[in-house]
Amino acid sequence: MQAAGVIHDYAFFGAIAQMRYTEPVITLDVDVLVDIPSPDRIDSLAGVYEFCARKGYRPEGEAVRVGSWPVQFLPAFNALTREAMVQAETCEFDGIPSRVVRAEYLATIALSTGRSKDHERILALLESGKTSRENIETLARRHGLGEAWQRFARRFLDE
Amino acid sequence: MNDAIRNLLAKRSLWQKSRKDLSWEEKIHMVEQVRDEVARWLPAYRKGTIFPAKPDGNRG
Repeated sequence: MQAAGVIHDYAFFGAIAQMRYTEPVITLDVDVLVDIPSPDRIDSLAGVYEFCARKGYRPEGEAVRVGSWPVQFLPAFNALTREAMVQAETCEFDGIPSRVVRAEYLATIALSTGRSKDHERILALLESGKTSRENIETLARRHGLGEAWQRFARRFLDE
Repeated sequence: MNDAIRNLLAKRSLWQKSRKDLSWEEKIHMVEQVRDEVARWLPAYRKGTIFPAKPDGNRG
């Protein structure tokens, strides 16, 4: 998809990326952040869907079915997610080089979303030792999430 | 050894590993297996043909 110019860049995020750093977690789909040529267009993912269809991967709800997995493509939607994609690590999945969002970015994106399962994700990433309070705090402050981090830390880490 | 037995042994060896020792790929394949197993058993569970509910509604 990258070679065909449909996307500029991509990285796995969400639960699939989290599992690189923590114990397995149940998930129903694969989330992929993508950098697409015209992110502001209302049909910004049309190129991605067309490319997948040509390869025989059909849309299913908000996702595209690839093998047994529904894959959800999300255009990077702010400075934090764009940076997360740029800073992603390259690792192998079944012999194929794959880009995966780093632990501190996963935690900070989870902080910005703020649901209960996101709080749980931050705690799991911290427990894994693959990132630290300091790393997340620095990133959170840089992206205007300093207060959200303080609230999280007070509620879950300091008591 | 036929494919079914080979698959079963591969699955067993994956599930017997400590979760902390699993590689990223193995964790994802494990989640895939859990999801597929749930999908396979859920219709029978819902119908009550496996783990039938006790009179109090509890299946535990």
